[in-house]
Amino acid sequence: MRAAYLIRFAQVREDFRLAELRGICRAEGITFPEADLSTYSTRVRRKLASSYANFSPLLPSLLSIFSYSVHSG
Amino acid sequence: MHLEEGDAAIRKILKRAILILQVDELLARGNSFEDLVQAAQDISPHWYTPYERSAFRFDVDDYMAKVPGSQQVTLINRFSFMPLKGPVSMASPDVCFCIHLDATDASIDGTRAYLGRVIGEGERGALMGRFNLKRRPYLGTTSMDAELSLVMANVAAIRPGSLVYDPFVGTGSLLCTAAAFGGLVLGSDIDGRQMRGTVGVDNRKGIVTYGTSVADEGTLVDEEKGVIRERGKNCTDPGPESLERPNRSLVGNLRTYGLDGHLLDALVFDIRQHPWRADALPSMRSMQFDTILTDPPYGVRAGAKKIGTRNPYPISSSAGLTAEEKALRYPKTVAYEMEELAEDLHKFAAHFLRPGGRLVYWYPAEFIAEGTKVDGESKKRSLMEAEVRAILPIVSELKLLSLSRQPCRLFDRWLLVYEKQ
Repeated sequence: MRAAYLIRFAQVREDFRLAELRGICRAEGITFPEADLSTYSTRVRRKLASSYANFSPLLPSLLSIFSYSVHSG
Repeated sequence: MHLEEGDAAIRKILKRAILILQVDELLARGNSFEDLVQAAQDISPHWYTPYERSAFRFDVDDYMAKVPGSQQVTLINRFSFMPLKGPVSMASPDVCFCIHLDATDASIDGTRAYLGRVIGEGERGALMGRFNLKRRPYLGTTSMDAELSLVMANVAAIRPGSLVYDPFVGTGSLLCTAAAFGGLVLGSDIDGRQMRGTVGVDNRKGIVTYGTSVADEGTLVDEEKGVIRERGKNCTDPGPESLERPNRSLVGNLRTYGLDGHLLDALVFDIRQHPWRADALPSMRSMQFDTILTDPPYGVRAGAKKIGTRNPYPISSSAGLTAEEKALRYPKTVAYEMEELAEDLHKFAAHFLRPGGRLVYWYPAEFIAEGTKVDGESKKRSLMEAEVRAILPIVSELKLLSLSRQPCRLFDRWLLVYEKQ
C-alpha cells in the first residue's frame, strides 16, 4: 500500500520550504525522498502562496528508515 | 494496514519545523469537492479499522475561498458514509480529519479538494514566540529575527551535540536557536563590545544595566545603586557578580532561554587571523566543526572589518608609546569586502568543517542595472540564481546544496547551504 502526505506550508518561497525540510530530515535521520521530487506538485512553485505539496512516495522512505532505526537499536 | 512508524517520523519533523503548518496523511483528492467525495468512497474499509470506535472531529481548511460555518457542516456531512462509530469530540478527538479546499486556481479548473487525516501541526508559533526579539534582553542593529534564525538552524541540520560555530556572532541570535536544537555553540567576533554588551539605561525597565564597554573597561555597573563601580584596570570580564543575573550580553541572551549551558565560549578575534589550529598538535586533529552558521555583515547597517591598515608600508605605530599605552592599543581595522569575506569563509569551512558538515550563511547580492534609464537612473533587477552561482567563490571541498533568495529593499540576500565533501 502506498500512502501519501499532504503538507501545508507557511507562506514563504518554495526554496526555503524545501531547504528546511531537507535539513530537518538530515538532522533527524530521515531520508528525504530526493528521487520523488518529480512528483512534487507544481502548485507549490507558486511564490508567496500557501499551497499543498503532495509527496506521494514519501511514506515508504520514512517507513524504511524508521524501521531501520528501531531494529538497529 | 496502518503506519504508525510514518507518523512518528512526521512528528519529529513537526517538532522543529518553522515553515510547515500541518501534515496530513492524504486519503483522497479531487479536482472538485464532488470528485473528492467520490474518491473518498474508494478508501479501503480496512483503513478505518483502527479508528472505528475512536472519538473524531472534522475540520475544514479553506484557502482563497471562504466557506461559512453553516456550509462547512454541510460539507462534513457528505462524508457520513465513512464507517466511524465513535463519538464526535471537538475538544479532544483521537483522530482528526481535515477537508482542504484550495481555490487558488478556481478560475481555471475549479477548487481542488483533499481529504486528510491530521498527523500534527508544526511548532512554528511556540518556537517563534520563545525566540521573539521583543522579549530578548539584548539586541544589536543586525540581530536576526526569530523565524529566520530558526529556519537557518533547521537548514543547517543541527542536532543534539552538533558543534556549531558563528564567526560573526554579534549578539548571538544564531547561537540561541542553534542551542535550542541541541547544538554546542561557539562564537567569535572582531568586536568584543557586541558580545559583552553595553553599559546604559534599559528604557523598558528604567534602570541602569550592567556589563562592560570599551570606554569603561575596568569598571562594572552596580545595578542596584545605578553607578559604575571600579573593578580594576584592564578588566574585560564582567565578573561573577554579573553572571548571577540576566544581563544584556550574548551570555545573557542564552541565559534568558536557559541555554547558556550550551555555550562553549565567545571569543574576540579577526576571522582572517583566527587562532584555530587543526593540525598543531596530534590531539587537536579532530578539531572540526559540525556546522558553521553565520550572518556576516553586509555593509548596510553594519560593515565588516578586518585587522589591517590602508597604508601598505605603515610607520611603526607603536613608536614612542609607553608600555601602558601599547597594552591599551587596539589594532587598526579596514573594510572587509563581501567577496573577500566569502572567499575566506569558504576556505575556512573547507579546512575546519568535518566531512558532511554544513556551512550556512547569508550572501547579499546587489541589484544590477537593466534596460532603459528612467529619470536618469537605470532600472535595476535582482540577480538570477545562475548569476549568483557564478559570483560565489568556488572551493572544491564544498558542495552547494541550495540557495534561497530573500528579497530586500536595497538588495537581495541568499541563504547559502554548503556541505563539506
